[in-house]
Amino acid sequence: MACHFDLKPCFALCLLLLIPMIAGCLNARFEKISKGADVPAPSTGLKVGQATLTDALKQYGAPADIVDMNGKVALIYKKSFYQGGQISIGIPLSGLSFPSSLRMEATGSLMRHDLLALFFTPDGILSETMYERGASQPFWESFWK
Amino acid sequence: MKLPLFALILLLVLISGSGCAVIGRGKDFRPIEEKMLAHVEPGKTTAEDVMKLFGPPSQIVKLSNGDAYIYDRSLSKATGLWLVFVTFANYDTQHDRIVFFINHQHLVTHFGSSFKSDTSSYGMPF
Repeated sequence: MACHFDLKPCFALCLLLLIPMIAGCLNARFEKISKGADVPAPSTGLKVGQATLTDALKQYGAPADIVDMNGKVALIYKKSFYQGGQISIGIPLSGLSFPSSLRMEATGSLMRHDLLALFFTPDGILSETMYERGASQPFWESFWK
Repeated sequence: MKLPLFALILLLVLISGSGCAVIGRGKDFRPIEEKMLAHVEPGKTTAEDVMKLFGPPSQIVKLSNGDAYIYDRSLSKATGLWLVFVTFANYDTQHDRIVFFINHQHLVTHFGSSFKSDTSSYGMPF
C-alpha cells in the first residue's frame, strides 16, 4: 500500500522550529558610520601664492582641525567613512556539560577618509594644497590591499 | 489534517523577519547661533567679545601668531534593524563649527563657519 504522507508541511514545520532555535547561533551584522560633511575638491579659485586664509574660510567654512606647523598653519577638512561586517556561527554547548562551545566568527572593517589640507604661510597666504578622496576608492580593493 | 503550506511559509517569513527597529538621536549641544556671526568684524572684534557672544570655546589651538578658538557641536542620528539572522546599523554624525583666528593683540583676524548638523540623516548601511 502506497504511503501518501505529505512531507512538505513537515519540512516547513521543522524549519519553523529550527529558525527560533538557531536564531542566537547564526548572525550577520553590517554597519556604516559616517562622520563629517562631504569634503569638496580643491577649488581652482584658490591659487597657491595668491589665495588668503579669509578666501579659504569663506569657501570651505570651518575646518575639522587646525594645526600649527612652526609658524605655518594647516586647515584640515575631513570626512570619515567606516564600513564593517561580522558573520558569526556558534553553538552554545557549555550548558549541556560540554567543556566548551563551538564558535566561528569572521569580521572585517574598513575606515576611509576624504581629506583636504590647506597650508598657509605665517602671513596667511596659501602655500600648498593636498587632497585625497578615500571614500570613493572601491570597497573590496581597498579592504584587501 | 493537512496543514496549509501557504500559512507555514508565511509564518516562516514572519519569524525570519521578526526583530526590532531602532532610531536614535544624539546631540552634543552648545548654544552657538549662526546669526550671531553678524556681530563679528575682523580687526575690531576682540577675543572677549567672541566669548561674550558664543561662550567659552570647545577647543583652543595655540598658533605662532595667536590662537584659534574652535566652537563645535554635533548631531548624530542612528538607525538599527535587528532581524533574526541579520543586523543592520547606520550612524551619521554632522557638525556645526565656528573657528576664530585671534592675534596676539586679542583681535579676531579671520573666522569661518560650517553649519552642517541639519544634514545628519537616518538610513541603512547599504
